[in-house]
Amino acid sequence: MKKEVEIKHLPMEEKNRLVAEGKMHWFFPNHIVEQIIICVVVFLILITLATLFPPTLDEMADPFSTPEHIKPEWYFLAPYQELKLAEKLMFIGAWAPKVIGVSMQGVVVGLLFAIPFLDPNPHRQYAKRKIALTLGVLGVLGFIGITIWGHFS
Amino acid sequence: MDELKLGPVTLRNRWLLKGFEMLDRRLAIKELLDEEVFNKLAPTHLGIFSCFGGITFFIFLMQIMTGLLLMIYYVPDTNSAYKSVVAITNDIPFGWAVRGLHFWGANLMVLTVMIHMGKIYFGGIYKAPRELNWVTGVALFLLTMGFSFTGYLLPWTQLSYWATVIATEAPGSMPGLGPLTKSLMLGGPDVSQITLSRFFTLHVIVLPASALALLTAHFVQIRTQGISGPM
Amino acid sequence: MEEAKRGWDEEPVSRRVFVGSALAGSALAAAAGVFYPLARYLLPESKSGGGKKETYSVALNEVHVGEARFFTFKRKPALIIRKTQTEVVALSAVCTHLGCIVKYHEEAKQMQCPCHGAKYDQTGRVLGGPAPKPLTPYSARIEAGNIVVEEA
Repeated sequence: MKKEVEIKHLPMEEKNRLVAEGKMHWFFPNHIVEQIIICVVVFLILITLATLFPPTLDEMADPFSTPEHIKPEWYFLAPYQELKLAEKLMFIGAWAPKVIGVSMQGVVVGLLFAIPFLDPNPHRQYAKRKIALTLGVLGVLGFIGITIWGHFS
Repeated sequence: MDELKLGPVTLRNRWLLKGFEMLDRRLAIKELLDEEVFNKLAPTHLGIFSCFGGITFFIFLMQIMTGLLLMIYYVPDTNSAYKSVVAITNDIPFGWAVRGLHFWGANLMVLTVMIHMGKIYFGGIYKAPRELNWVTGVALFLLTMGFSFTGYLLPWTQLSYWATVIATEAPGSMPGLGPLTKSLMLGGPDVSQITLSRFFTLHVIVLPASALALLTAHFVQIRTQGISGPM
Repeated sequence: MEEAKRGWDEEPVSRRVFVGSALAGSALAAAAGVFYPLARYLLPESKSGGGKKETYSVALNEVHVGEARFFTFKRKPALIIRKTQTEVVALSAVCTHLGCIVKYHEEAKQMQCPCHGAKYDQTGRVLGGPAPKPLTPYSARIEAGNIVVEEA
């Protein structure tokens, strides 16, 4: 596929041909209408959620009384559970759980940043990316798994 | 000028034409509109998973709008924050809707960012020449988590207060820079008024400004590197 | 010469008009659905007393003859002036020029506005300066050793 800059400077006959062949469509009105429809659907989902499941509001903060069972929001359950699991490393020393637990999260973020530079494979076809896909599926399942574990622990 | 062709649209209204001509003479908008809107092509058949970047951007814009509206009534003071959120929810007309939209927008945005990242990963779209845009994207993901983390404290509820205490405890116990990082985040040894002011500033100014800058970089890179085609 | 056009230009007019009005109609409805809540959210509630008459009272011996006392009435500053032993006046302290709060000058027996120098006498009448109207009067009476102020 051509870069956007190249497509932009194609002559109009060429652009009309691409549209006629169904390879591309017009930004206006086709693409815009599509985008507007998607935005409206997302907005409707949001307003429905806001109406049917309004956010709750518990008591005002009291620095002198810790409530029981504090759980983070779902997207922070994974790091929360990971820190809890790191408690098991107490046998190495009192310092170990937090130092290793927090460092691991740093490592995960670092790996996430580095993915394009760690993957030497130039191919994009699924069949030629077995390792990357396996690691990806394991990563996603691991994240979902530890999130669910965090929810029920 | 009797008529003006803008892609599929033909303008014939005299006043519209006059207005357009006036602007065109000064800003050369005809060329710009043709290039960026009316004679522009967009890819077809990208599939539903390709929409999640755009959906995330839309939710981000919604968060800016509802966030501005909440800021009109929210008071970032430990004595008043909770009361102001109660007032937004119960007293101000449609306040419940604005707060609900902001809350669900935040949750949904984290989810759509993750789906977007999954699509880019499994589609192998991060590969050359788009490596740096993946890096920009991961930074935007971390900003999203930063938004969630700082925004969570603002209603000053039991949960938000204690979640912040616990979440800052772990990095605070790291050797070396740990305690320093914690004091820098909290503005002291505990979660206090200073923390609330800090999180509020991060949430409404620092993070949005950073996100807009990174989004610009993200979009400029898409333009230069192009939308990746089918495999 | 009919030129081939793309988009909705080639549709017959009746259908085009129908689709157009349907689209415009739903766009209008959607806009109303967004802007009505937005306007309600942004406009502060107009709390207009709720029918109950506001009153203010202060012990007579707390305000000496010739003195003025400032107080809050209907969420705005107001003042009581004890002109003589038995004569009291209550006025809004909001200058009728541009809404500043007037000051009471005991020796001159008048109110002066610090913003543009409007002057009022003890009953609120304009003596000089840019004020277009007298100060809004309230009813004030002495009742069982108290000064009682009510809406006029």
